[in-house]
Amino acid sequence: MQAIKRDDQMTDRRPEFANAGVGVDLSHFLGTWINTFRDTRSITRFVLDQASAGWTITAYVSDGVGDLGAAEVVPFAPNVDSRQADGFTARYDFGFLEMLLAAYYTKGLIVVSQYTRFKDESGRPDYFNREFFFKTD
Amino acid sequence: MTYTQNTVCLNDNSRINPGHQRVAKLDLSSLIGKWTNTNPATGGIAEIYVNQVKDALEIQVFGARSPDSCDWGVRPATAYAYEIAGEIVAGFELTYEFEDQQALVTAIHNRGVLVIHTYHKFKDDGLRTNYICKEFFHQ
Repeated sequence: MQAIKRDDQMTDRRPEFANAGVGVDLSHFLGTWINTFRDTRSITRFVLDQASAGWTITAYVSDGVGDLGAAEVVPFAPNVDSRQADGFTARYDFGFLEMLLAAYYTKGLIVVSQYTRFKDESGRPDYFNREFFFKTD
Repeated sequence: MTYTQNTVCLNDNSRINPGHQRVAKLDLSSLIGKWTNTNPATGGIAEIYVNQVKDALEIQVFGARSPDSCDWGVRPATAYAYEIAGEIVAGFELTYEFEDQQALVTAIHNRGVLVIHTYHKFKDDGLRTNYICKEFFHQ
């Protein structure tokens, strides 16, 4: 088993402790998450859902654009031994623009960092923003 | 889904406000140099070097691993501004591809601290689950 740092190593390598063939569970995060900042100029809310294979996010943005469609979500645990998600990544690609969402959970909030990269000739610089979301029912 | 492929602004943040001008280039100087993990006992990233090559960033990460650190290699990174019309760099992101895993490194600079989140995605590992590593670095 290769490792690029110490955290990559499992605490117990016995087979019965292995997470063999099992992905990270995101089910405790499923549902609608609302931006804590009502006047946001970016993502107003997002919905995490289970797909036939894996998980999806549908993000809704301000300015009447509506929803950005569903994107595949990759869940991540807090360590190599855990199966419960602590965060996720997702990527939207609209051709002229690519937006990476890198999110983690803390104290009832999902903190979403957005890395927006322009691929068109508009000259707009790539930019970052971070927003906080709470869960509705 | 209501967007169209011809949309040029996904939201207000993607639009330059009237009266504002796009800056010629991003000032990367606040990121340049060696960054050391605030936790000397980390099992994650021990050190990270940020270099500027022309108008771009090059990153070298050293993972904490006994007995020696693990050099992840030098890779280009995408730098991000805090806002679309701003000249202040917020941070960067890059992805390392290893034989057994992919590591997405995201870094944001705030008040002298570089906050790095690394998203580790294992390839057909079958044992380890994908995980996030959240760490803080100082110069």
